[in-house]
Amino acid sequence: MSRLDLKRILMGGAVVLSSGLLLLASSSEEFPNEDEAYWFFEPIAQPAVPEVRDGQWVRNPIDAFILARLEAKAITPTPEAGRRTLIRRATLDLLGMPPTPQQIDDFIKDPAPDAYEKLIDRLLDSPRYGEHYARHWLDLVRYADTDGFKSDVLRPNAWRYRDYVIESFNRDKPYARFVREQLAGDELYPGDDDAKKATGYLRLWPYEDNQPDMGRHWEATLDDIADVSGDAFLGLSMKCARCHDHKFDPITQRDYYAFRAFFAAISPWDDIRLGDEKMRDAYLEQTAAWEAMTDGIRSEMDVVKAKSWETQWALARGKLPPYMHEILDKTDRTPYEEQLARFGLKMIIHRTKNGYKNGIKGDGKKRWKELEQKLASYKEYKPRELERVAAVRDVGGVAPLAYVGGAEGHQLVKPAYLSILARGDAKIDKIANNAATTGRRAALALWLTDGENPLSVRVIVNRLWQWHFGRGIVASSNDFGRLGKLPTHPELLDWLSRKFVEEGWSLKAMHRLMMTSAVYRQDSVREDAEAAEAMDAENDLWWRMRGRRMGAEQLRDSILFVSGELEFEMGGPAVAEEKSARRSIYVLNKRNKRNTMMNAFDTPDLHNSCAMRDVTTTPIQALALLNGEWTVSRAERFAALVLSDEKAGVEQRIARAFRMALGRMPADQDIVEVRALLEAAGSQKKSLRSAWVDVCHVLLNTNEFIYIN
Amino acid sequence: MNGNDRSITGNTAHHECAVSRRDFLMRAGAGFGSVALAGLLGQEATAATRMNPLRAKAGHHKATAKSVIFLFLQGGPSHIDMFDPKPLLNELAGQKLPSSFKEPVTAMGEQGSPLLGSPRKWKQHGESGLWVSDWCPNIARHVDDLAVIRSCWADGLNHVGSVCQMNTGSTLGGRPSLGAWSMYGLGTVNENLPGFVVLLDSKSMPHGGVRNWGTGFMPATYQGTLFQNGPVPIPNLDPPAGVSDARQQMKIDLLGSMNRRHAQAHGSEDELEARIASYELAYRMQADAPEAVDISGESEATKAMYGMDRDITEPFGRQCLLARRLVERGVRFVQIYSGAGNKWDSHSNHEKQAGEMCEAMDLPVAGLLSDLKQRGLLADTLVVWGGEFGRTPMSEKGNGRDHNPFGFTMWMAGGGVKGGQVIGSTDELGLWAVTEKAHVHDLHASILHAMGLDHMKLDFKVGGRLERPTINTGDVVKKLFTA
Repeated sequence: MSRLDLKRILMGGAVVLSSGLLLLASSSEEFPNEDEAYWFFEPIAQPAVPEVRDGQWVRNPIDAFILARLEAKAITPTPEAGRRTLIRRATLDLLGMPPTPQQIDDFIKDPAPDAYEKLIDRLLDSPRYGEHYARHWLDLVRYADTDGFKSDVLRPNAWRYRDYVIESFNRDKPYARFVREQLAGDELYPGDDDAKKATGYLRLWPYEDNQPDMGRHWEATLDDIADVSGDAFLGLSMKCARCHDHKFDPITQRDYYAFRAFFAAISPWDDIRLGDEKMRDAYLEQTAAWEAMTDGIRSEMDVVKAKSWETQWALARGKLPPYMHEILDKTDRTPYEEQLARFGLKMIIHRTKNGYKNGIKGDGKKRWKELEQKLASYKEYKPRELERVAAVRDVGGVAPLAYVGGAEGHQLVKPAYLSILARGDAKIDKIANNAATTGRRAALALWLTDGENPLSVRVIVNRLWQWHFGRGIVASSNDFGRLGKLPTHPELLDWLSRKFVEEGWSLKAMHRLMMTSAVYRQDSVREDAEAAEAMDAENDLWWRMRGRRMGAEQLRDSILFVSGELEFEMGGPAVAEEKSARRSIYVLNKRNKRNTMMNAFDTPDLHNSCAMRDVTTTPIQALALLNGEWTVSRAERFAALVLSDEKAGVEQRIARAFRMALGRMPADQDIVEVRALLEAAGSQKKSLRSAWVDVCHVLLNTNEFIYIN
Repeated sequence: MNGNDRSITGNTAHHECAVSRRDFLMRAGAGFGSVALAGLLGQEATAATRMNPLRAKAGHHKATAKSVIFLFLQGGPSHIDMFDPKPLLNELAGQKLPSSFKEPVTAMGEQGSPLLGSPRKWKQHGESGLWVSDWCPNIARHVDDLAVIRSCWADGLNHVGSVCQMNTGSTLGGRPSLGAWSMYGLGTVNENLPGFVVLLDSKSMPHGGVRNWGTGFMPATYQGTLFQNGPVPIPNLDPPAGVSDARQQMKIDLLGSMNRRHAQAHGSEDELEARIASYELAYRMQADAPEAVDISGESEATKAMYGMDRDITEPFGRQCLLARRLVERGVRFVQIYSGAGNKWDSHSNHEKQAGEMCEAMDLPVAGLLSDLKQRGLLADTLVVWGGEFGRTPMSEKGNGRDHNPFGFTMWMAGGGVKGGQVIGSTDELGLWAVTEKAHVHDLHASILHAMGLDHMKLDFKVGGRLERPTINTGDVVKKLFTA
C-alpha cells in the first residue's frame, strides 16, 4: 500500500484491519480472521529448541535459537569479549555503576571455569541491583515525586512506592505478585504493607490542585491510568482507541472503555497507614492519651481558628463550579458523585489547610501562637505518625457507571478484556470480607498473571531482553501491535515466556539465563564486521553485542563512584541531584523541572510511559560535562584520590586514574599525551594539581568512559 | 520490506521512535543514502552532519516564514480592552450577563457577577481602519501589517493547562511544544546557536516552567533553550572558573585525541563520531552565543525604538531586540514571555494592572515590528502575539476580570500573513467566539503552515501511535495568508 493510500484511509475514517482489508470505522464487534491470527494474540507456543551445527558455541537454549538463524544466513557469531569488557558490561548492566579495579583484577585472575557465572550471581545478590533495575520500571509507570501541573507540589510519600519497587527487584519478588500488588494490592492482599505501597502505582498520575472542573480532571485521570496500564502491562498502545476504533489493531473504542472500566471505581486515599494491627492499636492508644492531655488546648485552638477556617473553606469551595456544589450538598450520592465529591474535598481541604493560619487576625493571632507553643510542649507524648502511603481504594462496592466515550458517553460498558481475546464482559468476583470494593482490579490483575495471557508474559520477557541487550526481540517494547515491530525471534520469545512462568516468574532467573548466554557474552567489536553488516545491517540477528551509551543514572552514579563519593544509604525521601552523593534512583523526579545534567542525558518526561530512553547527543550535554560545576567538582575529588598516594610516581598515578575511570592500564600513547598536559602546567604545585584535575576531568568526558561495550 | 519489519505503515513512511542509539542516529539523519550522494557531489559528509537530527531540512511546502517570534503575554491579556471593542459592554456595565448569553464555568468560581465596563478610547488606525484601544497606541501604528484573529478559543480554564495548550496543543503535560515540532520538522540553519530559544522578561517562569518548551515524548534534541540574562546566555557555556583558555584547549585536545583513538579501535562507529562532533559544536557555541546576545553594538536609536531607554519598557524591549538579533542569525523559533509568572492575570484591579502591562509591552512590540520591517526581516519572520486566553466581560471581585478561554484575540504579522484584516468575531460582549472560530489547534496549524509544514503530515511515532502537532485536528486559518 502506498503511503498516499494509507493517508487517505487515515483521514477518511475508514479502518484498515490488515493489509488489503478495509472496514468502515464503526464499533464493529467482529474481527476478520486475519486479526485473530495476529501473532501477539495467539497463545504462547511451546517451541522446541532448534538444532544447530556449531553445538560448541551454545551455552544455553537461548544461543541455539539465535545461532540457528545466524547459521541460516551463514553469519558467524562474534567471539566472546575479554573479561575486562565482560565485567564492566555486566556490572553496569546489573548495578548501574562500574566495577572497582580490584574487582576487575580478581575476575581476570579467577581460574574457576564458572568465574563468569559466579560474577553474575554476586551482582544479582547486590542491593545495588534493585536500585538500578527499579529505574526501568519507574520509567514505564511514569513515576514522579511531584504533582506536575501548576505548582508541581512535592508528593511527600511517593518515595515509598519507589522503595517498594527497589525492594521487589532485590528480593526477586515473582513478577505475577508484583503486578497483582500494584493493580489490586488492597483487594488481593489486605493489610499487607508491601501491597499498600504497591497500589501507589495507581496514584502516579499528574494532579492539578487548581482545576475546579473536577469532572474533567477525573476523566483525564482515568484515561491516563488506562493508557499507562495498557502500555506497561499489555504492551499495547491503547490510546488510539480512546476516540475511535483502533485503526490498525483489533481494539475497539468499546474495548478501550471496557478496559478503563476496571479502574472506574477507584478514588485517591492519602492516608493509608502502614504497620500491622498491633502497631496501629498502640498508635491509637498513645494518640488517645495525647488527645486527653491536650484536649483543652486543642478545643481552644478550634475556637480561635474557626472563623478563618470557615472563610478559607468557603473560599476554596466557592471556586468549584455549580455542578460540584450540587454534588457536595447532596447526602445521597451515586458512586460517581461520591468520587467527584471526594476529589473536590481533597482540593478544598488542601487549600483550607494552606490558608487558614494566615487568616487568623487580631488578638486571635497572638493567642494562636501561644496555643501552638503550649501544644508543642506535649510533643514528647505524641506518638510518631505511622508511616503513610498515598494510594487508592474503591469508592465502594458498587462501581460508577462507565460509558463508551467516558462520562459524556451514552453507551454503558462493563469491564471486559480485549474482545479479540475474550468475548463478553469480564467475570468479576466479589472480594471476601470486603464489601467496600468492587473486585474489578483484582480480576484484571489475575487475568494478566494467569500464565496463559499471551500479552503480559511476552511483554515483560521482552523488556528483560531489551534491558540486557539494548533492544527488544520486539523492538517496540510498548507496542506489540501492528504499528510496532514484529519479533525478530518469535520462537525464542515464546520459549523464554514459557521458561519465565515455569521458573515462578523470577526476574533474577531470567537475568541469569540471558546474561550467561553466549549471545550476551559476545564482543561488541569485530574485525570482519562489514561482512556481517552486509547481511544484517541492523544486527537484528544478534551476531554481536550492541555497544550502548550510559543512561543518565549510570552516568551520574559512575562519576560519583569514580570520585569515591557515591553513598549507599538506601531508601527514603528524594534527594537533590547536585547536592547529594546518593544513588541517582533517589534523585528527585520533578515533572516541571527539566534542565539538569541528568535531564540533558535523556531522562524520561515523567508524563508518558517510557519503554526505551532516547539516546541523544547534544552540545548541551558536552557543555554540562566539560564546563559544569558539578562535574568539575567530581574531577577535583577524583584527582585528590589519584594524588593521595604521595610516594607514587607520575606513571603510577596515570595508571591509577585510568584504572579507576576506564578499568584498564593506560596505553603508551595515553601516557605520552597525559604527560604532555602535565608538563605544560610547569612545576608549580598549584598549577600541577590543576593539571591533574584536568586529566581526571577529561577521563570522565571520554567516549570510553560513557560507552559500554 | 524485510521480513522482520513488516509494520503496516512500512518503515519509510513515518518517523519512528528510536529503538537503539544507532537506529536513532541513522534515522535522525538521512542515513547512508545522503552520504553516497554527498560523495558523488564531492561534498564533505562527516558522520556529524549526516546524523545531526537538527540539520536544516526542507518542509512540506514552500515556507513564507523562515522564523517565528512568538510574543506570549502570560496570564491572559484582555482582548476586550485592546483589539476587540464591545460597545454593548459599556451599555450593560453593572448588570448581570443577559440570559441570551450562556454563562460559562469560570476559573475563580464567581457566578452571576455584573459586567465590567471598559473605559478605553477606541480608534480606527491605518489604511485598513482596524480598531485598537488607547492601551496599544504604538502597535496601532502597525495595524496594516496585522491580521487580528478575534475568534480564538482554547480548552483550558486555568493558567498551567492553558499555557501548556498554547505551547503544546494539549492542556495536559507530555507533548512537544510547537517550537520543538518545528525543530523536528525543519532543523536549524545555524548550528552554532540553539534553533529554538526562549526569553523571559523577568526572573519569573511562566506557569508550568521549562516543560512549556520541552519535547514531551520526543527526544530532548528538539527542546527550546532558555537564554539567561547577562553576557553568557546558555548555562555552562564558559570554561569552569579558573580554567584559562589555554588550559581548556589542552583539555579538549587530549579529549579529542583519546576519543579518536577509541573510535578507531571500535570501527569508527557513527555514534562515537557524533559525540566527538558535539564537543566541537559546543566549542563553537562558546563563541557565537555570547556574540548573539551582545547588544553593545546596537545604536541608541535602535534601543530607544524598543523602549530600552525607559524603565517600564526596558525588560521586554531588551528581549524583543534580542529576538531580532537571533532571527537575523537564523534561529528558527524564538518565544518571548511578557509578564511570565502570570503578570497579565488581572483578577482584581484590572484597570491598573492590565494598563501597566500594556504600557510595558506596547512600545517594545511596535519597535520590534518597525525594526524587522526596516531590515527587511518582517517578510519572512512570522510574529505571533497573544496569551493563553483572554478575559471575561463579567467582573470578578468587583473590579477584575476572570479567565476567558471561550473567546479571545491573537494576532499575527509578517511571514506571509496578509495584514490589515480582522478574522472572526466574538459575541457582542466578547465572551464567546462565534464566527470563524479558531481553536489553538487551528492557530498552531497556521503557524506551522507559514513555516512550510503541514500539521497532518508532520508525525512522530510514539509506541505504536502516530502523534501529530495538533493532535490530528485543526485547520489552517486560510484567510491569514490569502484574504
